[in-house]
Amino acid sequence: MNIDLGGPGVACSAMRVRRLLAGELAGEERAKAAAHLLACERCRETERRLGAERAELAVAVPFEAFAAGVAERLATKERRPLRWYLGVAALAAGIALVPFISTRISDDPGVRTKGGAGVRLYLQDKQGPREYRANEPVRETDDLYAEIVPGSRRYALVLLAEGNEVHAAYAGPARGQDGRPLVVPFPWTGPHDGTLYVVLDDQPIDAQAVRRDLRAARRGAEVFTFKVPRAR
Amino acid sequence: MAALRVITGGALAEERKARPANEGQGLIAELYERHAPAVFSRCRYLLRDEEAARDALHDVFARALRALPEFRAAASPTTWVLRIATHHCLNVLRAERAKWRDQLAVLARERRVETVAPDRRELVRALLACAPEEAQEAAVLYYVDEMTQAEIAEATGRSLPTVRKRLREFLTAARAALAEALPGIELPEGAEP
Repeated sequence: MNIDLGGPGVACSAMRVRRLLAGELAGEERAKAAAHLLACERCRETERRLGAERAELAVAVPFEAFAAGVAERLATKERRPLRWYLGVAALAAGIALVPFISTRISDDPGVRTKGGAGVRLYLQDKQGPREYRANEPVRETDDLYAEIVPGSRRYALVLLAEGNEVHAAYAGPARGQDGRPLVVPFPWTGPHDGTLYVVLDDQPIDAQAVRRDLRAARRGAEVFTFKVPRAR
Repeated sequence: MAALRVITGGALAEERKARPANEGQGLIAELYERHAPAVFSRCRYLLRDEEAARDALHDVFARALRALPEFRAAASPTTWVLRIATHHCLNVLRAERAKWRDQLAVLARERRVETVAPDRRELVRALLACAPEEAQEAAVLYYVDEMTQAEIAEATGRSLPTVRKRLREFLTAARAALAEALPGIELPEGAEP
């Protein structure tokens, strides 16, 4: 008995169907692939099979398990270069960071609260996560996180000024997904002392303009500052 | 309100520093929505083990996050991440060499009706173990992903003659393995890509 192992057809390709469904094809290539799919039973069968993959994943590995699994891998391998991604994965999984957050607003004199709004800073060192103490030197091996307490504010911008550079660590809604607290891990690998600025506003914030000049923040916006000296 | 302060400063630093955190949060969800179904399916297909496929899924995306700039720059992120998954699973299988090599025999034992051909995809998977290492990935890209030789050459950075050579190596090994394990099954002559 002869058996055909398959392979690409004249115009059939499982990968092309995948790429079409993923929005990775454009122009004439996309038009040709879409037209072929409509007319080709083999490729429509491929499309059905690919469609089933999504449902199979949702059952076997729900999103929370996926994010937690990836975060675990990132945490156990090559930890140092991966701080940003680890924080992101942990946030997506809703794990690890939030349980460590206390309810006390920092005593940093730069912090103001108005209408219940505020910012809490957390530091994770070898001993584990804890609330950041005002002006505490931060080692390069430590991780820093800012929790936004938005009060009535709807939008947040987090900037880290370091040396002559200003990095936007976050710009967007002041609350996390599903109303959860927004915890922003911010990358800080430079050698200089830093200043963290958190802008909270009722309206969307022009991140690029405010990053260039904090005075571009809308009148009525709240600005919180934290000095974060680098440990020498 | 805290005193406003002018921030002097130049252009954004490298992408990693400038990337807003909300983009990162969305990134995990985006990876899950857009690419995890294909990767999990590939891992399950090659490893044939739900738990091992879950582990592989996490490993593959941890690796993708570490190589995020490369991932984003890829002409086809789907192809890129599936290649990572394929490569990872083939490595896992090679580590279990004896078990993997036994799979063609298992397929032969499970084939109860000799007039019915084995499932094409399952046969390809079982035959991979018999092929040289360099030919295995090319075979998956060709027979499973149904990529043309030119597409494989582009995705893997190999020349077209090299891709053709790898596929021939796979077929040669597959024919020999089939003759031994499934004597009633043959690949048609002239089936070389």
